[in-house]
This record gives sequence, structure tokens and C-alpha cells, in this order.
Amino acid sequence: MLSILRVENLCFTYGEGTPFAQKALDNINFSIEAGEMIGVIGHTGSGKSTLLQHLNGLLRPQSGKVLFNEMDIWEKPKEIRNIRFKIGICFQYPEHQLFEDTVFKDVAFGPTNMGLNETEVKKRTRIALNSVGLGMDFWAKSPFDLSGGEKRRVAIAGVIAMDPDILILDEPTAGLDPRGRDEILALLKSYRKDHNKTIIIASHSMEDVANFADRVMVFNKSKLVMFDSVLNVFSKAEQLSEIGLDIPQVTQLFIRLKEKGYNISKNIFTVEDAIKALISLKEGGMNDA
Amino acid sequence: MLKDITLGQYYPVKSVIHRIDPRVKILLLIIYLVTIFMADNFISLGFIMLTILFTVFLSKVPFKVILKSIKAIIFIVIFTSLINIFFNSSGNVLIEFGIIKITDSGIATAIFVAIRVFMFVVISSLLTYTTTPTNLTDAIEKLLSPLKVIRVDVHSVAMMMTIALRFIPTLIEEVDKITNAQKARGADMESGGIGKRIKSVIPILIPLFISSFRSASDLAFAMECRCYTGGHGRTRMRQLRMTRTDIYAAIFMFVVIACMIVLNHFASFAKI
Repeated sequence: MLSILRVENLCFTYGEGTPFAQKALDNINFSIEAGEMIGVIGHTGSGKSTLLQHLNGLLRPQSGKVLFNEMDIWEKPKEIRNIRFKIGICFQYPEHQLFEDTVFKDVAFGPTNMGLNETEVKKRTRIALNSVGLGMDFWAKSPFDLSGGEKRRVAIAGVIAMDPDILILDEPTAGLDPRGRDEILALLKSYRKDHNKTIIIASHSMEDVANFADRVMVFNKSKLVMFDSVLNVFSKAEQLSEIGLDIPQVTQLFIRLKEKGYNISKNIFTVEDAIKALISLKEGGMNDA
Repeated sequence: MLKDITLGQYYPVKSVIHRIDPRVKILLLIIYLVTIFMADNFISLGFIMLTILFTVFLSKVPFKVILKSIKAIIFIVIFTSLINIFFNSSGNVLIEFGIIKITDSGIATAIFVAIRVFMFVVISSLLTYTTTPTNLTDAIEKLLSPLKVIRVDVHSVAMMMTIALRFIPTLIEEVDKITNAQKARGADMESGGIGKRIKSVIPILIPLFISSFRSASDLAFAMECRCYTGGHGRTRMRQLRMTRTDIYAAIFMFVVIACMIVLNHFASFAKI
């Protein structure tokens, strides 16, 4: 399949040439296919956020290339804005970027910047707000009167409203209560299902990554150390713990069960799979008896 | 773009200049600024320029970093120089163009003023490059303490300055983040006429205000949790102490002033 996003030999150093110089990305290479859901993990300062900022041209590569549909996004630097409409990015704590006096106007900011006509702007705004589950009774409210989870959904809708081909989210669930977190993840899943978009999510929660991602990128010390399926990444528990990352808690449980001698798979990453595995173990056990 | 603002940006290296007591440094800076004004001819000005370059050299702050602070004021300098060139009508006329007369003394004054302003900025920025913000405000608090007699709350003023300086990098970071977020939504800040550009600042300004108020109230809570009640009875972990370096610095300053007076007297032929 054709890769929708490809990164070649990307390097970036903050504050180059000053005593504060810090390498953030070291020779990164990968390619992502259309429709994939990618999880990005790595602890704070591993280069995740820097990478995401490169993907839609907020940072310009010091060396290397970012290719969108096999076209270098910096080929025409003046048209970088058009790239930003196609590769939407939603930063950490995106609710801090809200500024309009109503939810509707704030979400319409992106499509308005695209230079669309009013009907199209309104249409996209409506679709975006609906797809994050904010009904009409929210539209005229001030975004500052909403709860944390609702604000976050408004901010995500602000990016979705541009109808990007690739949606990038940096820690979309950070700082939310469990319910808000589940809501955000559920809406992202259904958004992907309805629109068949490519989604890239950076997260600190291994559970979240195991739940939604097809493939996982692992960053450590500004290098991309793994890029593989959920199964292949989380089955390397030792390697992950060496770089200070965890595996999902259910997986840890299942590894221990296996060690205790239960006839069970180690490769269980979500609670649903765990339930299935336990049920079949129980039935299998009964059959043995 | 915003990262070029170097105000309050401490440059962490070890040098003689870094070691000078901040109180002494502030006083010497004021004297230095007066000395720059004392120079009334190119030879004195050249001399003071050399001493300033020497001080920069001693401070181990790379010249590239210093140049950044000059870049920030280059437009002001060009503007004042142009005014000098166009409106100084004494001296020999070089070019006459309607009411505008460009004279040799006009050009000389322009260059003189430009150098003077540059010197001002270089030596002042050296203070912030070589002194941590905390030391700086401690020193200001100490230097202003005589004002307590007339019931000025010196401690609060100094604390406000500390906080303001402390929050400059935080705010810059915040502006960067918000700008990125709005740019990601296609905000266009680089093109368009002045009206459009002013309007394009709103999506950054409003979130910035909100986050500033939020950090202000967070900080107030955090300070109260640590029993901060103002300056009364507050002691310091690190006391400021004078050392031999400060005496050397004072002697250096004294020598510079003495040379200035002599040069001003003997080099009056180069007066502008």
C-alpha cells in the first residue's frame, strides 16, 4: 500500500550552537500507511512531541525529510499552511488554546482559516461537534464554562473540523478523570471507524495504546527504537522496562500467571482479551476435570 | 522569534564578572552608564568602547550572544541616527535636498549617538547575562532598602520583580505553545496588512491571559502554603557578601573614570 506519511533521516537539535543545545531527534525513519492507527510511546523528553511538530511543519527539519503522500512537505515553504490543514495536530492540554466566546465559533476557527465559504464552514463545524458528541445545546455556550473533558472535546473538534487526512494527538487523555478519558478514546475510535482516517496518538498510557493502536512507535533518547505491531512491541517487556516503559497492567498479570504455571498466553494486552482468555481457561480447566 | 528576547536571560558560565557582588554590579553599571555619557569626543568614546569590550571578554559571554541583544534595538538606533542626520543643520552641508540638509557634523553626531546607545545596551545586558534573576532582585531589594524610611514596601516590590522575571521564560514557552496550536489550526500570522495582523494576535492573547491568571493564582496558593506572609521577619538562605573581586571591580571603574576625564580634557580637538 502507498504510504501516506514517510519520514526520512529526520534530525533535530534544540538551541543548536548554544550551551543549551539538546538533541531531540536522531536520524528517524519510518513510514505510515493510510488508515493506520499508530501509538507513540516514550517517556518525557524522548523526542515524541518534537517529532509530532515536524509532521505538520510546525518545525522545519534541520536535516532529513517529511513526506506526505510521497511529497516533501517543505517543497513549497509558502504553502506549508495547506499541509497543516491536511495533517491536523492537537497538542497536549489543547483546551488551553480555546479563545472564542462560543464553542461553535472556536471550532469554526480552523475551517474559517482554510478560506472556505460560510455554509461549508458551518457544515464542517457541525459535523466535527457531533462527532465529538457535543450536541446543539453546547454550541452557544462559552468554552470556558465547560468541564475539563468537554473543553478537551471542543479542542479536538477544532482540529477535526478541518477534516484532515491525518489526525495527530499528543496525549489526548492527559489530566482527565477515567470517565473523560474513556469518552475521548471512544470518540476517537468511532471517528476513525466513520471516516477511515489515519490517526497518530502519543500517550503515556500503555493501556490506551494497547487498546487502540495497530502499530506502536517506541522512542528512547531521541531515537526510534521500535516500530512494530502491538503484539511484537509489548511482548518485549524486558526491553521496554530497560528504557523505563511499562507494558499494560493486564499483560503483567498474565505474564505472572504464566510463570505460576497456568496454561495461558502472555500476549494479552486489553481487558476484553483477558476476559476471553480467562473464560476459555476456565472452560478448558473444567473439560480437563 | 520570541526566543530572541534575551531580557533576564542568565548565561551560565563562571567568570570574574559573574563573581562580582550583584549590589556592586548594579552600582557600577549606573556609574558606567554615566561615564558613557561623559564621553564628549570620539577618542573618549573609543576608549570606553575598548573597556566595555574588555569587560565582555572577561565575562566569557560569547559575543554572538551579546549581539542578539543589540539586534533587538537596531531599529531604535537607526531611527535616532536618521533624525540626527536629517535635522542637525550645523557644520558643512554635504547634500541639500529641499528642506533636508545633510551635514558632516550631522553624520558625525549620528554615528556618535549610535555607538553610545550600543554601548549602553551591551553593558546593561551584561548585567543580566552575568547575574541570576534572584541575585539581581536581592540586590535591588538591598539597594532600595533606604526607601523603607519613607514607607515604601521594598520587599514586595523586589518580590514582584523576582516573580515577573521568573515568569518571562514561562510566558514565552506558553506563547510558543499557543502559537503552535493556533498555527496548527491554520492561523496565519505572517502575512496580511496591519489590521489583519493585529486581529491574528487575538487567538494567542486570550489564551495567554487566561493561563497567566491561572498561574498567578496557583503561585499565590503555593506561596501561602509555604507560609509566605511578606518580607517581615524573613531571612535569607544565601547572604550577599563583598569579596576582593568587588574591590578590583571598583578600582577598574575608578581607573576608567580617571582616564575618561583626562581623555576628555586632552582630546577636545576630536569633539563633535
